[in-house]
Amino acid sequence: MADEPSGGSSAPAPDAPVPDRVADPSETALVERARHGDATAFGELVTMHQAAAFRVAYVLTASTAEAEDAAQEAFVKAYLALDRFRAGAPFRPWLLTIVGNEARNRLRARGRREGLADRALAAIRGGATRATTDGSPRPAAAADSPELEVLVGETQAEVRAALRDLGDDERRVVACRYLLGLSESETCAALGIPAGTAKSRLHRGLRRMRESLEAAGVTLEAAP
Amino acid sequence: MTGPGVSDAMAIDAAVERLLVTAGREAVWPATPDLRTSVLARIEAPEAPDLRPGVLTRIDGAPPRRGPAMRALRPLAIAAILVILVAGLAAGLGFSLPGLDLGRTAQTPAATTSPLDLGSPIPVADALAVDRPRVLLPAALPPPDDAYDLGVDDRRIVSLAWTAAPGDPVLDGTDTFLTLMAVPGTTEEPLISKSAGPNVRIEPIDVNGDPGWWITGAPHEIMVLRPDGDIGVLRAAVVGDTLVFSRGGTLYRLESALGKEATLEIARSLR
Repeated sequence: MADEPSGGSSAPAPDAPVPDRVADPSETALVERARHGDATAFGELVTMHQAAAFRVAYVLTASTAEAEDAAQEAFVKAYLALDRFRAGAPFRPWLLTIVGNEARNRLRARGRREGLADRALAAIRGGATRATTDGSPRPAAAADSPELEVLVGETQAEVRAALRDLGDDERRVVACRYLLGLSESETCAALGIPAGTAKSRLHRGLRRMRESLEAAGVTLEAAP
Repeated sequence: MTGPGVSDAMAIDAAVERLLVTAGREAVWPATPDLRTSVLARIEAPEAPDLRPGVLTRIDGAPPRRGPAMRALRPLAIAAILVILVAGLAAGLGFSLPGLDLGRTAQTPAATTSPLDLGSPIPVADALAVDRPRVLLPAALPPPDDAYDLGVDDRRIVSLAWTAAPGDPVLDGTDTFLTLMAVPGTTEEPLISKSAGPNVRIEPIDVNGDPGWWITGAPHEIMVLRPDGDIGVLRAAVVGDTLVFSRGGTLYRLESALGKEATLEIARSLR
């Protein structure tokens, strides 16, 4: 996914959840050049990772416009913070931490805006507000979540239905690991959660999906 | 204490994984915008000459000058930072303790009568000889009847179990009234993950000055994250009343059929 060129719409995922990445020497060289102010080298890093950054932001914000803004802002912030990047470490988990933070901040801001708008509307109309009490955005209905929207076609219907049965937290971990093909550390970085939390949510998510699929009559063949 | 089929439930279903991997391959994501152009336009813009790595340092390279007022405020600033750090740590930990990831979930776990698989049986004397995690014995009880271990080296989990007398309360699916699990405790990598549904109460408790939680009200889910260092969940179960607390780098987990007061008394007698 990381090497997918701009503009692609369907990208291959790995055959299984990928192991944690090790730093690619060519990537390390690009980071070093960018750290010394070489914008072209940083441009190469953007090209390498823009698909992953955009899609993670899309999963978190459920909006292509917000995802583009969040990913762009994250790349600029990453460039400005390159002095704090640990030399020799893989770049993508670090970048996805920044993308995840940026996307969540935008989601919170959107929640506050919507809450304000709702309260204003309610004051005008005298009706009840739709906003949550803590200013966070209302949870999107599962049917509207971006992880489900990317699964199109008849063959995806079963997976889409089983994913819809998951809670938001579990669905996001499953989406990061399998639909986006992120490693465990990248999943933790993107979602801002500890490894233990990611493992337990993934385990629960897969188990619930299995139950949903079996209840729907889907035959799950044992691994060869 | 080792229930048949419990380990089976821990295995990630390969068929579901295969379906998801295929779904990932066929997923149709929105087109990725050309971020390279927009990002380079921003970091190379002539009106933003200070946009470069390490921009937070002063442009002239000189150390920042501090006036007398700043020097006087420095101790206060350090104290404030310390307060914020401690508050932040507490907020970050939430319900959790070193070695334990404890969180809320909106969903109630499916009922099961399979007890938590505590690992391989070992002689009680061997369990008590383990240094890390440090295994303590409750003075309020006779010696344990069984001992188990799971994992290796500094990721080893040791458990003790007490068999109930006829007629005494027991943990679901077992003949024991109490299990005591000792888990290496770090905040970086918990080995135990618990999910509490809406009907579970989590009450703060104090075990001779050590912080902990009494988890009760409805069964909750426990997962033992692979203590061999591999990624994944090794064991999971739905369990009942549990007391967890942290002492000296070890997380102690007491699953009990005896109620809060008796369990707390047992915990306070650990030596």
